[in-house]
Amino acid sequence: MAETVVLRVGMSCEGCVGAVKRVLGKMQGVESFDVDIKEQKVTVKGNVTPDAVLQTVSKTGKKTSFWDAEPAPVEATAASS
Amino acid sequence: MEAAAAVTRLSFVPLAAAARPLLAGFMRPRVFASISSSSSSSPFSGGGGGHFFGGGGGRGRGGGGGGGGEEYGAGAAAAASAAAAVVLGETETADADVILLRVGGMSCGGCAASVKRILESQPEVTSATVDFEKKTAAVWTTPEAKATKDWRKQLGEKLSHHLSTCGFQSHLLDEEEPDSGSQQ
Repeated sequence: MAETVVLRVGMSCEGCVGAVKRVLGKMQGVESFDVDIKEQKVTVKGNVTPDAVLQTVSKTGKKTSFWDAEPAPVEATAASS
Repeated sequence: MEAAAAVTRLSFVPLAAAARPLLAGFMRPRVFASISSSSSSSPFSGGGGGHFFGGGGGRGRGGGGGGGGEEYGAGAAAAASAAAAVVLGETETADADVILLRVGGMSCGGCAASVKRILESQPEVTSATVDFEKKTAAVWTTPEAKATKDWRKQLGEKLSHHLSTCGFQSHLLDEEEPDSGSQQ
């Protein structure tokens, strides 16, 4: 079953965008993704769970949170091995 | 060479001294948490675990006495110097303590900060310095991480592999290391 996950990711430049794209490109279950640096928005579609995507993008070391949690953002800034 | 090493090490003292008062002021419990997670705020605490604890005790005494900032500051500085001495005593050269990595994919300070966070999240790493313009990262490790003969190669490759999985292509800088002769 397909899932769409939207994240807010703190990306400063194309290098940051590249890092996010590289980790998503390697993630199992991801069918497609879109990265918008202006909106600081990352959209991922595929056979994935929101938490798994959040964790994968967090690996890049960038501030990451779910997009729709704006009122009380859930941050995952720690990069875990 | 020894002088250079001393200078290199001493350059950390101000940072350590500056960091400790801040921590002691209101984050005392977290100091232990930091030690447990191996992500200490001071480069020296990794090198001199026992001394770091001793340093903590020193801060406690200073605080208890309520003698004033000067006495406390002196204690912190002394602890930092002691830690530095321990680190120096354990190394042959300053270079021997550092792992140098090539890190691609960085275009700004934000990328460098990300790489630093990724590296310092590893249990074997005490601190890391990243230069995105030169595309390099210098990594300092815990004493336990240097148990094997080729610890630098093993850990360096592990760290560079981890960086690559996190979106930043990386590899060990063998050719440019001053003591590359030590490689097996």
